[in-house]
Amino acid sequence: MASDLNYKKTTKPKYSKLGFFMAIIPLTGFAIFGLLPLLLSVVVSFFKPVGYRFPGMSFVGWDNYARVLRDPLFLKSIGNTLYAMLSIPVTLVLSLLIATILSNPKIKGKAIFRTIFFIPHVSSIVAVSLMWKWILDGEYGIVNHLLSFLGVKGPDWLGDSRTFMPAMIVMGVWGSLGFYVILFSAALTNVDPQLYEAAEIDGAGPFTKFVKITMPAISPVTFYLLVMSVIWGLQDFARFQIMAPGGGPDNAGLTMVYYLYNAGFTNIITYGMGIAAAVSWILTFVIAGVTALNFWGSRKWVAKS
Amino acid sequence: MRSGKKIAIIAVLILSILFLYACGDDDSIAKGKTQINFWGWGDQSEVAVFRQLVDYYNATNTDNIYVNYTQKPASGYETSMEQILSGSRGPDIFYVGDGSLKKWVELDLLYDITDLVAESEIIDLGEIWPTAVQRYRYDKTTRTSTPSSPLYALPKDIGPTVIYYNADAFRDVGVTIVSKDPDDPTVTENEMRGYNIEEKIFNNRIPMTWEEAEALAKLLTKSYNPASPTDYGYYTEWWFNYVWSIGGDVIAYDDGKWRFSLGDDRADGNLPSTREAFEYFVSLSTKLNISPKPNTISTVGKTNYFTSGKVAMMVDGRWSTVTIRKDAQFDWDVAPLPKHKDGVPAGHSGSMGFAIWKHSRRAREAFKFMEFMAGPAGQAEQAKTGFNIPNQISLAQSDVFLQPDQKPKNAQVFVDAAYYQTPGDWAYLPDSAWISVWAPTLNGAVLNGQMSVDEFFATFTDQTNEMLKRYAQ
Repeated sequence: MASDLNYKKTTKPKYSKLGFFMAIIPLTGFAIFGLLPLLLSVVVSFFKPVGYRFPGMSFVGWDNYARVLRDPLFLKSIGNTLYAMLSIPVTLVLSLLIATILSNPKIKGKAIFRTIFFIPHVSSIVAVSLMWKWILDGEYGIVNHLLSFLGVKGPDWLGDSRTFMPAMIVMGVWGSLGFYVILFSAALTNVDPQLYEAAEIDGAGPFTKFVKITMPAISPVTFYLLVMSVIWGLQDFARFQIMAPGGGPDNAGLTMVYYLYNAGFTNIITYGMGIAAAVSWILTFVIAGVTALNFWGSRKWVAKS
Repeated sequence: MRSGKKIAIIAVLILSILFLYACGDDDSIAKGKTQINFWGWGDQSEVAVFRQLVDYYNATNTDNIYVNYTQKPASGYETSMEQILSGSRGPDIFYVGDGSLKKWVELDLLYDITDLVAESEIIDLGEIWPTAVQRYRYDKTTRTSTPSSPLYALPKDIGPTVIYYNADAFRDVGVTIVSKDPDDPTVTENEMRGYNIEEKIFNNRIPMTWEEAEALAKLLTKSYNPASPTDYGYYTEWWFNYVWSIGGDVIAYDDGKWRFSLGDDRADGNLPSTREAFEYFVSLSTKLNISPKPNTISTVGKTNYFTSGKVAMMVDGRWSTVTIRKDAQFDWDVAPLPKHKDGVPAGHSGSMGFAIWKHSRRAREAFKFMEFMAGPAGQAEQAKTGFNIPNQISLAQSDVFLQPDQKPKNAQVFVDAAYYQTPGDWAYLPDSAWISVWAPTLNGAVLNGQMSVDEFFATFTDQTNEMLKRYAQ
């Protein structure tokens, strides 16, 4: 006992110092490359910088925020972002369905299926986007080629504002399905089988068991996926930049982050870094607000562990 | 023993690295010289020519200058360069597009070369296309570009737009192609038009009128002529030559501010109004249906649409010549852009220039190199790539550029166009925010026939004018 105490006394300070030194490297990195830019962006959002330079920038108060909120293109970008986020409920329902089917012990080759579904998630977004650009091409795309067998002349999916976003939603569902399936599959394996047995004894059918047992049991995972996909959805940008250069037909591909990018880089003279910083903080508050709303709503449907 | 092995492995690795380093750039020629950094981009053949040019310059220049050439990716070039040039480690000399120049001057990234050019014994601005030089002049205090505005770059090239046409398709529908200037002693009365509708004679040396181009395009459009080998007769994505031909423009500078003028309906003499000219351009794909809609032509691109034989005439720039030479499996050539019967020849051209970094400590040395690249010696080599027209007028008139052994046979059309073609609207103002208000809808819903021209102007005129106010601030 005494030797144990001695050990703790002699080793604890050593570990603390080591831990401190180990932590100080990433903390310094975060302070310089994370916290400092974060604070600077707050400051810049109230100023009008000259290009990318801070010296000589003029204070404009809340003007940047007011200009963004009055800009029809920003309002359009919000609409586009929300439209694109329709992929979230579709993905959630579809992935839960696939995970439930894969959880059936009679299904063989589950690992292969899961791998296939997961491949898009680990693929480069640039490669995936270029592949979809080709698939959806109006003239040479495989989608329209298949439709032509049915006698249907497919549209130019990415060149027409009416079909652009539905095409992007399909791409979004395909891209995130694998990740959702893996998490739902893990959640489903953790549901206590005794609950199903007890329900069967009470005469519950498959649908009742799914709604009354499975859904509540996996609700923490469903909640995690919902929160994260809403955040990712509000930040959607890279694939739109590739699939809709310049914003796409009728600016149908102009998402909020794409608008931010244009403000900060493409149109830096008329918008500028000040407005880009203001957009980023508006986006931050939107994400924080929606996430808080999600947490507030979760009290009614997410099971407590 | 083990530690001995480790030491041996590390020693071998270090030696290998040193060996590779030693095998790298042969810097012996650079020793004792002023080194400057030159950044550019381009496809492999263009880059190869530039490397040769740089090597040649490094070996022969008597100014004690050594140039390090770096090829940058074309994708994202503008944005990445803006950030690099805003920092402290930019290249001394680099490419600047005509659409980026004003923005980069506003961002204080470019060196004013007006005096250096005036003092130069190699650069003679009188020998360079005035339409090319003018786009590199800009006065940021007034936000205007006049012949006396400061000069910030020298053109590397100029790429005019013309009609690329499928000569086989023309012949298939019974059109006779001739190539005779109006002052050609052999030219007949019937050949004195761009396209003689009655006699079906196409003269690729004379611009067609809108009516002639329309009649020829109908002959080559399946919905008008089922015997046509091509689906559509004509394709252009640009309104410039229509509106400019009658003296109109997309914006006008009135009372010290910019105004969106594409919808102006005031006609002048025999000429249609700007709005009517614009409406005619829109009608090509929406009413006349002689041109594919943007959502028909696919994301693969118009050049592919042309080379695959789906459209008989396509408006495009010189930069597409290399691709068309490679891909088109039919006889083809080029012709001037159509113009209004009472209007002037008009159209847009692209250009890339050489500029010097504002904060370069070797600006004079960089200019020496610029003199070589933008001067007669460097331009003669660059012209061989065939991408664009050299900046030197006399060189463009020679076989170095015209390349009579290669298509297009009527390459003189590019040279003729370079005299009058000016940059597109993306080079009008320091950035494209004002264009992004209306252009995506024009290129989408309007040209696809989902929005009328009236709705278009009702929706975007005020919005664009609101955006244009910001350029006056």
